[in-house]
Amino acid sequence: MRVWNKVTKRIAAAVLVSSVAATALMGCGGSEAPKETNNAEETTKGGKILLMANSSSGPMYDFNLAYMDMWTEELGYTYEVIYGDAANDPAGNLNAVKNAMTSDVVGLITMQDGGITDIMAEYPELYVAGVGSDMASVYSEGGASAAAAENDHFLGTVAPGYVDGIEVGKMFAKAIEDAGYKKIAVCMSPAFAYPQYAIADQTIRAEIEAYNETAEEPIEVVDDEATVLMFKPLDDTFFNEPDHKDLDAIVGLCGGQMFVYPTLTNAIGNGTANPDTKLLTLGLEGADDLVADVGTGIVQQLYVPNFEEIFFPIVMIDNAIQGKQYSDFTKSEVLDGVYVSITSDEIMTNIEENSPLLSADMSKTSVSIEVGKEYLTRYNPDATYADLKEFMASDAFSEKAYEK
Amino acid sequence: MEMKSNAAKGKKLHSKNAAMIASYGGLIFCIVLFTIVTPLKGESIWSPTKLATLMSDVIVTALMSVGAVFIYALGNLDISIGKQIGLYAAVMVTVGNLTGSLIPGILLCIALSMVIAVINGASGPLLNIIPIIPSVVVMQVLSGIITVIFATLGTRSITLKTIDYSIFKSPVLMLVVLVIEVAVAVFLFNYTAIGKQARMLGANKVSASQSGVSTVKVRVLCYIIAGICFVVAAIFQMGYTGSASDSTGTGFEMNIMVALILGGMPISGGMRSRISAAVVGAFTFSLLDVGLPMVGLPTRMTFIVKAIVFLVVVLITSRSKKSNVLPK
Repeated sequence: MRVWNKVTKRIAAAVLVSSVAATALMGCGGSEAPKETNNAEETTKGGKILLMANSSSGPMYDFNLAYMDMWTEELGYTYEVIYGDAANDPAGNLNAVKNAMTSDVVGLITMQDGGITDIMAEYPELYVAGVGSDMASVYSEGGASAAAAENDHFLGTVAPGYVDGIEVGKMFAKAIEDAGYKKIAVCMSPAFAYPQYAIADQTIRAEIEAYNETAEEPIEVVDDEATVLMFKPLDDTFFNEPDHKDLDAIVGLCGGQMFVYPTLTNAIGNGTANPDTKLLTLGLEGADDLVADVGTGIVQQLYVPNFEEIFFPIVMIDNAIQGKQYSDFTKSEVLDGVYVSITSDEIMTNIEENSPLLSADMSKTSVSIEVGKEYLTRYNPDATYADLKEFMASDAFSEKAYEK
Repeated sequence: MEMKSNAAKGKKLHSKNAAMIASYGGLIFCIVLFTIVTPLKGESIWSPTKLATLMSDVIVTALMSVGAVFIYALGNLDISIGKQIGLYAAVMVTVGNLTGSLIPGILLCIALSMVIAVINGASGPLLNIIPIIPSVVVMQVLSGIITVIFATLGTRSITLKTIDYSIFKSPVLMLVVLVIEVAVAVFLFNYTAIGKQARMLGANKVSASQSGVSTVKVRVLCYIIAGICFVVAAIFQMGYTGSASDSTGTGFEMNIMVALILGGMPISGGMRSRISAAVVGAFTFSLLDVGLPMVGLPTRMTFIVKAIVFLVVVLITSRSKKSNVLPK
């Protein structure tokens, strides 16, 4: 029996070693060295673009892969997804880039800002642009990566929605007033990670206070400040507080479908929360039941940064690699992202049926190859950065783009 | 009769060296594989850039793992290591920015590491609890302290403002420090009473105690040696980007465990423990990190390959019932 066990172990080990070798060798499919494609008209440069993602699953991840497939094929690049540190640790991000670095890498699209300065110091020829991140460490005064803002290889970023917390606060305050909620609570991700949400919380309170001065029926915002969620879902004990039992709505300054929705659903289910309590929040999870709930169930309003904004770093990096940057682009900046505002069941249905945001179906993209070519200087030498900025702020990225 | 005896001897020798063969074999396999395959992709694992990347990838894990050998040899497991690194990095940056020098911060971290070592090392035998429990408590306390530090500072990461930290990016310095640490650790582990008694305790606590080994004293000293190694690792972790964040060090204790097991360290400690396991395992781990993307393997696949390699080594090295159990 002992001998048999040993033999089995050795066979298993041999099989596994072989599979390691086979898996590793499967990757060998030809040279990935940067190449120049000779078109009839001119020479275009290729190479590999790294996409440093902040997640490894979900609708945004699937969309980004499909979108990168579409654009890199069109533009003659390859790309590889790498995973930044889950908590945006500078060393973790630098390590992720270093380990994936090969001689053909020419650009980096990053969804995290930790360690940007170090990455750019390590690879000075690399063009870097961001998406889904306000790059606070780059653009805030005294930020850890502030040096990147002055680097001519850093090409800017698009924030996941408004950069300024005041604008976020005003957006939610208006939504509350318009919906007629009379008693609300605010939950948010910690201010040391998302300082703009602390500002948004204060703005909501200030806006509602101003509204109450003339309102017939005032709105009550419970607690002096938002309940802070330390990167984990709202605690069940939240609804044990007498003030939280009869709320009309909770504003989730966070990925509310992940951090607030499950607790609220449970609390409604077990009778500790008002069954009519609604959730207004940010972000979009792809699960069917969550999608079905938006606009009809607990989640009344959802503000989703449009995934299609990844078009911005693709354009900026391609222009730079081709040596054809916009003539009016002088310095990188952070652009406000456009929210896809899902405030009704009808809009949610539009997003499901007519957008690529949940399906990653590129035939439904609002920034198709044809539309996008207008902003790429390799196709349109007259394209300007001002045009691109205007486009990035347009309804091509809002829920209106998916109306039929 | 003689043949039988020779066969038994050979079997024993093979069994004794199986872990070493498996771990060195894994490292050699990785070196050979990447040396042959990477040129086919127009890359080279031996290019100065990639060697520098390898060194920066391996240094923190190797420095920590060398220290952790003293803890694992006891048959113990310390899961507070990651948070210790996080705290030390945060302290070094904060004190560095306040004083304009890294020295006070490093000294403070050494003092902190001693306190943590005493708690982790002594409370197990003194309170008669499983040694992993104090490390769980320490981990949670340190986690809380780190959260308070960063919440108070109002940011997720802090950076050295005026101190030049570029020296810590030098692969040569990394190599020199690693060699010195390994040399000191080998000396302490193999040629002093501390190392021998640590292994004795790991092999058989009752027998070691009855032979006059002071359980508490040896444990505390082992944790202190490990703690100093963790501070050295934290210097390089912090010096890599001149920064610390609220997530610095997260999961490092798992990296150590994987590196040690890949290096052929018996996970129950004891007499077969050796310092080389830390270095071999850390280099194998990092070679996979650096080499697999170079042969065109997507990043998401590297996790699977690393897991398979890990499984293979565990299969080969888990020969006895004892080595199948996690340290207490």
